[in-house]
Amino acid sequence: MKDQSKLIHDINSGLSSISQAIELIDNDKGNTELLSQVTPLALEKITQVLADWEELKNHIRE
Amino acid sequence: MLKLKKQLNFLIIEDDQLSRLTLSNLLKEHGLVFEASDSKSAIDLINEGQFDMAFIDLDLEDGDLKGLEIISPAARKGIYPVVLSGREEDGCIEEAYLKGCQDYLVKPFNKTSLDMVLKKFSLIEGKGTLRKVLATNYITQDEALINELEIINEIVLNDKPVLIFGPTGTGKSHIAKTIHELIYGNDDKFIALNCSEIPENLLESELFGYEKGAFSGAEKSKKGKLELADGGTLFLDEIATMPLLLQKKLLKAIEEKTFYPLGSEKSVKSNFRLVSATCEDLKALVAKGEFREDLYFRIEGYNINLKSLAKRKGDIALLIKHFMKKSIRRVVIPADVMNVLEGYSWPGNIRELRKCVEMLQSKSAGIITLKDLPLNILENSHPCEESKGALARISTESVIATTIAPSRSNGSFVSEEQIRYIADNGLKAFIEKIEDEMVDHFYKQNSEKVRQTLQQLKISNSSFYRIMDRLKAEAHGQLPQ
Repeated sequence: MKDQSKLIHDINSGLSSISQAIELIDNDKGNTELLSQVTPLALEKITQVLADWEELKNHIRE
Repeated sequence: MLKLKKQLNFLIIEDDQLSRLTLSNLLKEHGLVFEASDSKSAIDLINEGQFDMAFIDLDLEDGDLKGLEIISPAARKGIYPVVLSGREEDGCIEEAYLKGCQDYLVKPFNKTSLDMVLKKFSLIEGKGTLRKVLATNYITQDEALINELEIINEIVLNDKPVLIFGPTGTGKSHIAKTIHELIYGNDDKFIALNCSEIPENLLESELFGYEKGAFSGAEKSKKGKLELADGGTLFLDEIATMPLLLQKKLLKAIEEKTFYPLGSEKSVKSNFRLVSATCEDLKALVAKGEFREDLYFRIEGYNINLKSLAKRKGDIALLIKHFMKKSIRRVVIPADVMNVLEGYSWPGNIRELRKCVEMLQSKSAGIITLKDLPLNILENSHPCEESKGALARISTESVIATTIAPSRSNGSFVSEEQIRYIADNGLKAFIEKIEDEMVDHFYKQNSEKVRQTLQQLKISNSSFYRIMDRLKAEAHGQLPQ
């Protein structure tokens, strides 16, 4: 179990990592190789952020 | 796209694979990228490799804030450490800076912030370039002016406007071009327009361009300076002479980065860095209602004040030497002539001085005499009572005599002992020895203050550092190159 501040930090860090990856892909739209490298990592990160967010919601409810 | 002058070696220390991949893709257009995800492998790479910059995340695989431990070792190895972190606590940022971090970027950062850091690194690393520019492009040893020009370090890091003040002939265009070259590495896209040289009715079409048929005589469309400067620098010289109505239109174009060419219904976008120059007191013109206040506040940002030559007389001899080097045919300017040239006020500043040197170089005599000088200079010069040149010669003579040859009996400038030294070691070695001893002597005499030493010796920055490098090499027992 992560503590609340760690969860906030990880969510913030995950969102920033996803947003930068999206910007990178957006700036290089025709680069399919880059897309194939970024997509699985970005999906993994999104899943992680969502899990952290659920956990944080539980912390807040408690 | 930002273009760096050389390919760099980057080290990314980041635990998050997606962030590493993103940053690596942004950096690889500027050089080679190496990666580490924990502090131990990062330290190993720092110790083994040669890196220019390290991008360090503070929280790593082997623990939170482990990145802080990497900053000092990286800085000690001469690497430029940049922290990239989501942490915004002041304590954390302060600790990173205390450990030697050069820039702290908070995540998520955009490409512009990254480019700014790369540009700053490039400038710091190329400090010699700026020094070289000042030594070869804009000659001055005037301490106050050099301090004024140091603002260029900040100017190249962002796109804020620049306003250059200075009397005619002080090199305003030259400084504008130098700024552009420092940023872009070449003079492409440096678009200059002297507002005072174009008739008022043509200035608008020159600036904004026009469509075919916009006015009688417009047989084909023409791009304006604003459009041509897209992605570069628009230099507006003598901006104070621009008509008020046009000032309003220019203000709109600067603010919106969009404008309409004459006769066109289609707007044109242009992203340019504005550098303006004037020899007028713009604030006074604003007060008199002759220059728009809103435009004044829009074009000023970084202000540079260039002094007239009359206020930096120490530069006259340096400039003469600099301009003389530009011609293949060399002439000699003796001390008495130099004294008169230094005593003249040069109302046309560097431009007038350059013209005068070119005129003297075209004289048939190899040694310039007072008779060769233009009448207006001879009549209006106020040389020092004692000839500075002669004084300098006497003082140099005595130092050389006491350091290399304590006595001379034949009345020649060079003593017999010195002639023997030249015969044994060659003229080059003799000249180098004098250079070394004089730089060492005056540098120490001036409490190791470079600018004073340069002013006294009347040599350029590059010559000074060349000699200092030789002295250092000799002190370390190395053979001078």
